[in-house]
Formats: sequence, C-alpha cells, structure tokens
Amino acid sequence: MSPDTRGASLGLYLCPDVLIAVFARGGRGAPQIAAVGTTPTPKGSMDGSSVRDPARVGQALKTLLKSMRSRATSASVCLPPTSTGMRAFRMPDAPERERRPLVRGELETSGALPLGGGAFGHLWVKAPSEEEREESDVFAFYSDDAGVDAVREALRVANLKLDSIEPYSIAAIRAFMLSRETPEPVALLCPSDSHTDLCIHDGRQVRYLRRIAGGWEEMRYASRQQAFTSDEAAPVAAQPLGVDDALDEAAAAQAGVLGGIHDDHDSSNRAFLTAEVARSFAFYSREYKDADVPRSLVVLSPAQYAEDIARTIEPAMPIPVVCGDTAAKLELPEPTGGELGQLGFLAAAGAALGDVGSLLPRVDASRQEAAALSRRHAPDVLLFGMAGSSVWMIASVVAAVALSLLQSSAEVSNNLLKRDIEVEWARRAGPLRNEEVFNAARGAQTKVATAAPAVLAAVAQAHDGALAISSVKVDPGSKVAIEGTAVTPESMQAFAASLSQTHAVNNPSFDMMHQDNGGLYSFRIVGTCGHLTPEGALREGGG
Amino acid sequence: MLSSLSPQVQQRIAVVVPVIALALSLFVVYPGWNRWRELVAEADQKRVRLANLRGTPIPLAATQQPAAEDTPAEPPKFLADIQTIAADSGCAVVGFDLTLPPAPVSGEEEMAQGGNKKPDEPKAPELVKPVRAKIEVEADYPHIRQFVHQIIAAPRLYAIASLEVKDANRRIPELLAATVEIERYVLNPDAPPPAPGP
Repeated sequence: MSPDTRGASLGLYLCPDVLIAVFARGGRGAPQIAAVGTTPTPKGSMDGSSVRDPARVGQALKTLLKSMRSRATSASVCLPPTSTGMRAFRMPDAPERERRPLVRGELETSGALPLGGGAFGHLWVKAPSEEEREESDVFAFYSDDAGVDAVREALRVANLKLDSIEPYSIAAIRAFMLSRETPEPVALLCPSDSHTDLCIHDGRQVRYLRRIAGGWEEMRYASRQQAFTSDEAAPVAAQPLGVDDALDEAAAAQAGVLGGIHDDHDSSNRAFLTAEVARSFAFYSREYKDADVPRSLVVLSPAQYAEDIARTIEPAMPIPVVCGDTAAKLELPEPTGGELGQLGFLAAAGAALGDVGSLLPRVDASRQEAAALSRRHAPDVLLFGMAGSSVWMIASVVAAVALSLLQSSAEVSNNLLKRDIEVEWARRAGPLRNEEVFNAARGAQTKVATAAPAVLAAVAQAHDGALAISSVKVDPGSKVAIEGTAVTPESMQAFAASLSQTHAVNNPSFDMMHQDNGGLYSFRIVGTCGHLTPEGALREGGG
Repeated sequence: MLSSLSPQVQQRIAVVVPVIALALSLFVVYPGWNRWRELVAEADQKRVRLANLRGTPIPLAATQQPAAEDTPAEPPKFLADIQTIAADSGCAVVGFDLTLPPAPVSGEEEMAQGGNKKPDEPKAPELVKPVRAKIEVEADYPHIRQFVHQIIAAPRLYAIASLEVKDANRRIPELLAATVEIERYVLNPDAPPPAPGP
C-alpha cells in the first residue's frame, strides 16, 4: 500500500549521490513524516552542489515521485551545504520593505553577489542594544542565478514548482527544533565537509548564527596527521587550513576557554573549530546578556562525524555537548547514499517543514530580483511573436482542413455535373452523328444528282404524238439531250415550246435538225436541268 | 502561458512554430486555395455546358437512310433493292455493272477545274464515300419514269448521275431501254470518329 501524501509538503534534497524526497506534515503535535523516497542521481547530472543536467535530474525526480504516487505540485529544495554562501552583519533596524534592498546592498558591497544578480534569503534578527538606536543582526544566505535556474528547470521537468531553496543548515536546524517536544534554548552545530554553521536558538527564535571555516574534511586531515605523528615524530606540527596557532591562541585566550585545548593540542584544526565555537559563545554571552543560556550544544551531523566532533569540543564547552538524534525522533530512515547523501533526510524534512511554526522561518536562497526574473523570461516581443506564430499555424491548419472539405465538395459537384453532361451527350450523340452523315451524303447527292425524273416527266408532258422521241439522255452535269424524228417542222416547234413551258429543261434549243430523203425530220434538242434538285424542285437561288 | 515554459522550449517554439506555419501556408493552404478555385471555375464551366447541351434540341431522325455500312454485303443488297424497285415499277433489269471505276470527284469546284485534280492538300476524310453503279432496265416509257421516280423516293438515299433512254432495238415498238447510273453512299471507314463527349 502506498503512503498517503495528501496534505503533506514535499521537501527535496539533491546531491550527486542521491535524490531524496520527504513528505512531511506539520500539526499541533510533532511533525509527521508521511513518506520518504530515494533514487540514485543520474551519473554526471550534478556537479558538487549544482545541477548540471536539469532534464535528467528532473526526469529522475519525476520517476521517484511517480513511484511514491505523489500529487505534489510544488517543492522546497535543499542542496548540499556548499551550495550557499553566508554572510552575517549588523545593521540599523529598518522597516520590512527596506530590509531586502539593504541586505542586497551589503552583499553586493562585500562582493558576495554581483550587481543586480544572484539570489539570496536572510534572517533579520533584532540585536540587543544599549544605545537608543535599534540594530539588527542579518544572516544572509546567497547563491548564484545559474544554480537557482537549473534547480527550477529540473523541478519544472518533474512537473513541480519551486517554492524555495533552503540552506542546508537552516533546514536541518528547523527539523531538529520541530522534533523537540518542548522548545528550550539550545546551540546547534551543523558541520559539513568544508564549513560548520553554528546557531544559537533561544527556544523562540534564532539569536545568533555564524559560519565557521572548517568542517569534517579538516577533521579527517587532522586525524591523518595525528596518525602520522604517532608513528614517527612529525618534524613540524600540522598547520590548520588557513589558520595559524597564534591566532588560535589569541582567540581562545580571548574566549577564556582555551586551556584544555591548548594542553591537548594534538590538532590545531580541532582546536580551531573548538576555539571558534567557544569564541562564539563568549560573544553571545557578552552581547545577549538577558538571553537564556543554551542548555546544550547539539551536533547535527552524520553519526560517523558527530561523535568525533562532540568529543573534540566537549572539554572546552561550558554546556553539555550531545549528538542530535533528530532522525530517530522524526522516524526517518537510516542515512544512505554517500557522504553528502547522509545529510539528506534531515535536510529534506526540514525543507518540507518550512512553513510549520515560527521557530525558524523559511530562508529562501532562491529569491531573485525582478531584473533576474525578467532576464529569465523571453522578451514580450518574442512572446507575442510566438503567440502570433501559434495563431498563424492554427489558422493554417484550420484553413487547410476547410480547403480540403471545399475541394472535396467541389470535386463531388464536378463529378455530378460530368455525369449529367455525359448522360445528355449520350442522348444526342447518335442523332447528331446521323444528322452529320445525312448532311454529308445529301451534300454529295446534291452535287452529282440530276433531275432525271423531272426531265422524263417534262418529255412525257411535251410529247403530243406528232413526233417520235428516239432518245432521252441526261448526262452528268445535268446536260439534257433529246433526240427524235418529226414529220413536220411545226410539230418540232410545238414540242420545243411545250418542253420549254415545263421548266424542267432549261433553255431548250435545237442542236441538230436534219431532213432525210423521205422528208422526215431528225432533230436533237439540248438543254440543262441543273436548276432543279434531284426531286425536281427549283434549287435555291434559281440554279 | 508561453512565458511559463522553459527557455529551451520557448526557443524551440519560436523556431519550429513559424516554420511549420510557413510550410503549411506555402505547401498546403496556397496550393489548396488555387486548386479549390480551379475546381469552382471548372464546375461553373460544366454548368454552362450542361445548360447549353440541354438547350440544344435533339435532331430528328432522317426519313431516308443516308449511307450504308461499307461491308462486303452492301453491293448485293443494293442490287437486290434496285431489283425490287424495278419489279415494283414494272421494269425488267437487263443489266447492271457494279464494278465501275470510282466515281469522279463530284462537285462544281472540280467541274470548274476541267477535271484536273487539285494539288494534294491535307484534307479530312469525308464521312461518306460515293459508289456508283450502272443499271440497265427495259420497259415502256411510263414504267421507266416510275422506276426513276422510285429510285429518288427509295428508303435509301440515291442520286441519278446520268440517264439515257432509247429504243431497245427490239421488235416491240413500246419497249425502251434505260441506262441509269446511280450513285449511292457508304460510310467511310477512314472518316474521323464522332466528336468525343464533353
């Protein structure tokens, strides 16, 4: 059965070894851890404390959250301790709205942030003052824009919105404070590999916070040096990283707690850390006279380092030094996943509980200035262009679809019209062809046909019995020749006259006339019948 | 909405979307628009053509067959038809010649040229071919007249190209011999096919 993450806030811890997700709920009692999940960080996707490949990290987070059946839409992130720098300074008290510009100014002046760039969050704590003017202690945590943008992009890939990026020590301290049943003044030491954050909490709010240069890496270095000197006497005592003995002694002497350490000066590194913690306590005692004295110093560190550190600084501390057992109280699993990963559960839980209570307000080191936010977004012209292009593309798609439909409709209409035309044409094709053939044949007939029936009729009509017709000839070209014999010239004349009146033979004339020895007349009358149609009607135009 | 996207996505959208929109416009929408206009114009033309076609009356069928198919059976059928006409007219067919040389080029134009053939010019073949035959019949004058008349009024279109009526040189005084040169028409197989439909 999957854990119920409803109503729980999501805290993430991102480091090169492992990605940790913790769902935590705050309430009236102790905070509850709803679900915990881990997944290996994709190889090469993180470089130290910064996200190098947001897409792969985001995808890994997405897969992890999916396996946890997460419904979270936003998350608070905690990165390894070296991801954020810290500055502490004292300033005149100022209204809320003026604080952030003032802090930015200080950070830019000190070179911690570039002008107008970078991201930071801060704690603004009123400082005790014996004078009339009010002062405040400011504890600022800062990071660079690129790192913040990379984390934001990774969360976007995982469908998450970035709520905040909290410094590791703030998240761990919050988780510890919230896990305690009754708040009481306490000092907390958050060592990391390269530095150690010291926090003094009066049970209601943070009173003092400082970052000490030196972490467990230097402890490890010191241990190796100690082993070396025990085997064969070291020619020269190991020097602290960046600190000399004179400074240690002076600091410890100033704090008044250095005696034990100086006597047992097997490691100047350990002494340096001890001296700095002791000096911080001395400063706190001097500055915060009315404040409650911390009941104990809690070392918030993986077990393998916490005991060593506690054993080292305990002789010089006026209060008990204990190792934090926060993980057990919050029912967090045993730390896994390498050196940086061991810090993760506590930090992720602290980040998830950022909005719970007022013991330690959220410190968002991802807050960027408006200029940086506007730089991250594309110019309005580009956005308008993209929107216009999108509208253009959508309009093109709509137009393409509409044109396809119109083309389809027009093609259907054309096909119907084509079919109708073919049907109409089929009804007319045969008759038209017949008419064409008839006209061609009739034309040919008209050219060659003679009006023979009309000529024969005319001859029959003109013949009156007084002469004999021996031959009637109608030649091609409609030339008519009529031959015969007659007894008298008058009969020939009457025949010719009658023939002329029939209008079948045009311009009849005697081509030959001959009288033989017996007194019989032979004749030949010629004419034409080309003015008549084959049927005997007058041609148009008179032939 | 666009501003909430990551810069990488914004960059891709800024490049890909206009390219897609341009490609769609150039290669899909513009050709589609032109094609649609062509189809609309084509449909309009077809509507006009259909209206014209429907407005054109269907030609009436001719009362005479203008031409027969040019088949081997055509000459005997023609002879049978003529014999029928002659019998109906009371004439006796005494001779016929269907092997006449091809009919001379007919027409006034050819006549004006004095029979000289015009230089060859590419000319579309005629739809019909004239074929002539010479028929000799014997009968008295009225029956020869009836025969000639019935040839002109026959169900098939004939033309009497020439006619000669003379004494049959028989001992029967009324008997005449008529030589009739008849031109008939057959479909030209080389003629262009009917005009294709629209």
